[in-house]
Amino acid sequence: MPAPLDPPEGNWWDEPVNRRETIWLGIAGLWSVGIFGWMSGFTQFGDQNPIGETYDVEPDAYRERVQEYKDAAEETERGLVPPEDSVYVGAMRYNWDALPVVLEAGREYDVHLGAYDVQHGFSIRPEETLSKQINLQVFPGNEWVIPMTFDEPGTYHVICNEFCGQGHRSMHGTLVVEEA
Amino acid sequence: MSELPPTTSLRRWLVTTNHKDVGIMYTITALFFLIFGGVMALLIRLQLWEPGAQILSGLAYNEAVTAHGLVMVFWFLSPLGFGLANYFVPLQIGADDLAFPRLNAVSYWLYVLSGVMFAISFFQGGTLSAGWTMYAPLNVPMYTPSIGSTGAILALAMFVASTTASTVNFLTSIHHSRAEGMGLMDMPMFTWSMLATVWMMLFAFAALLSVAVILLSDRVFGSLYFSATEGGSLLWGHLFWFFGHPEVYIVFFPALGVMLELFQTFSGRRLVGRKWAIIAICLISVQSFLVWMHHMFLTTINLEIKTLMMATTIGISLPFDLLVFALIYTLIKGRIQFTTPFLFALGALLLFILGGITGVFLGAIVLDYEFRGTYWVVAHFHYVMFGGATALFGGIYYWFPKVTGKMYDEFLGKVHFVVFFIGFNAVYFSMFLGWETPRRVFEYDPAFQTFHQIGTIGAFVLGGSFFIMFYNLAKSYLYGEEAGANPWDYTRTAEWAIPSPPPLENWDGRPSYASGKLEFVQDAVADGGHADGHGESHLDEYPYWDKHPSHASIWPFAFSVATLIFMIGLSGVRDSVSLSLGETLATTALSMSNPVYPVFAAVGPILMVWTAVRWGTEDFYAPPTAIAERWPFHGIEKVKLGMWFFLASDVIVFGAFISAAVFIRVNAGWMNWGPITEPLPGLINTFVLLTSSFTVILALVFARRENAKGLLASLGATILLSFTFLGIKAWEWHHEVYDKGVTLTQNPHGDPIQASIYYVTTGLHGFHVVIGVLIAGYLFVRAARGYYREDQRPLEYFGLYWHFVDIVWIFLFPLFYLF
Repeated sequence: MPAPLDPPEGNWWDEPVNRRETIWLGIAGLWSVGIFGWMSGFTQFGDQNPIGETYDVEPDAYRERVQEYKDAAEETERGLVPPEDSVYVGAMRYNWDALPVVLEAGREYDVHLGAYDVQHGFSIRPEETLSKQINLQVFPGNEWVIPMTFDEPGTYHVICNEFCGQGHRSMHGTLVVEEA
Repeated sequence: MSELPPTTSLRRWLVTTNHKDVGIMYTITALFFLIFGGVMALLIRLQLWEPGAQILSGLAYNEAVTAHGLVMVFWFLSPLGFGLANYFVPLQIGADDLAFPRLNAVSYWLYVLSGVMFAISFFQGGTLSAGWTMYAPLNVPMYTPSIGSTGAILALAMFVASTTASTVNFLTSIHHSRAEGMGLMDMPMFTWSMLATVWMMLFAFAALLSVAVILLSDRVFGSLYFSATEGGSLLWGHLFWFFGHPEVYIVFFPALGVMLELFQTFSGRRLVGRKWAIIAICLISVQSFLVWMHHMFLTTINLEIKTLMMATTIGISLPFDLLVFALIYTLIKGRIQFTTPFLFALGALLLFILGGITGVFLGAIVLDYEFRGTYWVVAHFHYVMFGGATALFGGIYYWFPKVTGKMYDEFLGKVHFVVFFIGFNAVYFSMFLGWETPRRVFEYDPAFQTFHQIGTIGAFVLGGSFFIMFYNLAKSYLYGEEAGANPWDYTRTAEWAIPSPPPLENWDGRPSYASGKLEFVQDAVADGGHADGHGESHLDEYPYWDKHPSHASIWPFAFSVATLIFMIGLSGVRDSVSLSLGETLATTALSMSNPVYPVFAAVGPILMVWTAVRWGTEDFYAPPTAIAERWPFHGIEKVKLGMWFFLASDVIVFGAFISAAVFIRVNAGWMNWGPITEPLPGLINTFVLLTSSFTVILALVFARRENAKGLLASLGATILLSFTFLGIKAWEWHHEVYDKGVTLTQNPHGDPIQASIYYVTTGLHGFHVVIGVLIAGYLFVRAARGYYREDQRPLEYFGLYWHFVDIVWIFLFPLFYLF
């Protein structure tokens, strides 16, 4: 081992790459490409993503649309029953407008998401396992239309998962999914 | 120039510009902010002891989370790395000091006073409560109205100003002052990773500066950027994360550098694949700017772009894999000494591997739907960032003998590591176990309570472990054994070749690697010439060549205090002053409810200009390194190189402003907007500015010919032309406001945000012109007193700045006046 001030032996700044190193680099590279291909493929073809489409909309105009939807929907004790396949949700400080809503299990709905004021987080969690979740960011000025199907009947909680102010912790709504 | 007082004097620490003193102050201040942010963290953990506990109110909890994030990322992690870098980068490259010692001192003072500003914000009606990402539009005053929220963002802007200064300083030092024979590839690994860090910082922090300035214009002047429904909310996300992702590596790379250094020293083995490790570091620096939208996978961005960002994100894990393999292989091939610093470096590697692998999951869009907003993310980034910082504590132990000359207590050091490592994993691994907890609320499923209670206990253990370190270092500093110049067996970097602690001037003789190993050469420079001609003619022209280097100046401190006064004033000015635009300029009224903030806001800039002028006229001499490796900037003088780096960051600042304007306009529909200004005044102003660029060049030519009248006339013409520009601008704004009714928030002819963009973007340019006028005025007075005949560099470098300001206008003119 050389002392601190001695130069290292030989042409140390330009040593050829060791063969084992090259092999490991190759394996790591292949592994990464494999993982990446799988991830990318799963995103494109795995049919796992609620992708949907986005539209520009003024927050006030969106609020009116939600109001029209609420007027058309049937009011029950458990919540609104949507008139057609479209379900509107309006995020506002500190409330989910048009929730609770009553949905049928197995039926595909177009869920419309939009915010009236600041950014909110639309996080759905089934009641039994408060764990499994899906989480979407809801922006003012955008209307995001996402096709969603609920397989299991039950109650799903919607909480806000982006900081939105003083009452953020109490911003809560429910989706009631019933057997068709 | 004043003499540097001894270390026992308080004045020493206020005036010092020496890189070693500043490094010590940086490190100690960063550790103070570790405690500050740590207290916030403990409050959060107490709140999570049981679901929905109410130790803090909902708003106070949000404030604690926000402050914890901001303090730890900005005021602790980066500055701790920079403390070590301040001390050891100049030593490792064989330089006498950083390139601009006073600029380094001002970096430190702006940093510590920005922290003070942040602390003050708690008492200004509550600090910011929008999370450390400060997502729009929650960050505008309509939703976060407290003065403290503005104060916190002003503190952040002040911090960014400090980092921009140190970025320019480090880039110039490393590219300008490396010892003879030390090529870029020969640099020690810690210096290498700092070089990559500052290159990333140059561009990333410029983006943060512009996004902070835009937000401040929303908060202080009331412009409409981030409340605009034409994409204002997404604009924040893009600009913030364009900074935010490189920032992850900016805080990690100093720690990586320490890790690389310590693995070599304590395995007694050269880093395996050294060249490839350096290539990987460079690749990561570039790639870090291409992945930011993976923080926005659940926004309304379309899937094609998200998939592209997923590809680049996975791509960035490749060079990291290489670095990890290089580190592991170095250990396999070496003989390991399990000292305290090595334990911390090894711990950092283990924690980082766990943090990195859990991050790969988050890089997949599909999994983000499930993971985002949960404690998985919280655990992941703590393992990466705090796990990385673990190596920095190793760095503190490693270099403690060099800084103090005393050896730390090895037993206490190992106890610290064990307690730290157990506490760390208790708090953060329990987050992985209870990962399904939602991240931004303090209510959670009682099933996870055990995990959170383990986490809370772990947090106190982790926090307590640092007091072992503080005790150890304090005790060792007072009573420790003498360490000698080099207590380690296999060090290879230059700082170990000089006494501990190093003398003020660092070297006895000039360090040189020209022969392939470190030697100290005695050059004869007493007669004003120097040993060999490197073709650096400007050094011969320098008139004060044989002066003694200066180490003390009070003006960095004074300037920073002035900045703090200005920032405090700005934070509350909107709440205490109201401006009503009447029908005409004559009826415009300004009413004031509380004079404190406006007085601060008025006094601050005056003091800033005064201290800056005193700074400029002070007789302070930082000698340029005569013989040095400078690739790839050979032949560029030191200050000019610094100027170019600064302008590069300013390009990004304006780039972000112009991108914001284009982004909002595209969202509003590009063709829906026409210019709200008349082209003719803008065209005249274009010619006025271009002419003023020409007169600056004339000034330089006259100065070279030693023609005093010509010099004064052309500088005077530049100032007059700038005033003409500002006059036309004032007329134009007056015309917009009183004839057309277009104000910062109102636009009778279209979207109000268009008016905001016009005023803010041209306003930023106008601000640059005002700064230019101030500098030109300073140069004019100095020129009248007979300066710049021999040394015309200030004129030339002012010219660089001025041409840049003009070029920016060439971009703004079509954007706001023609299309």
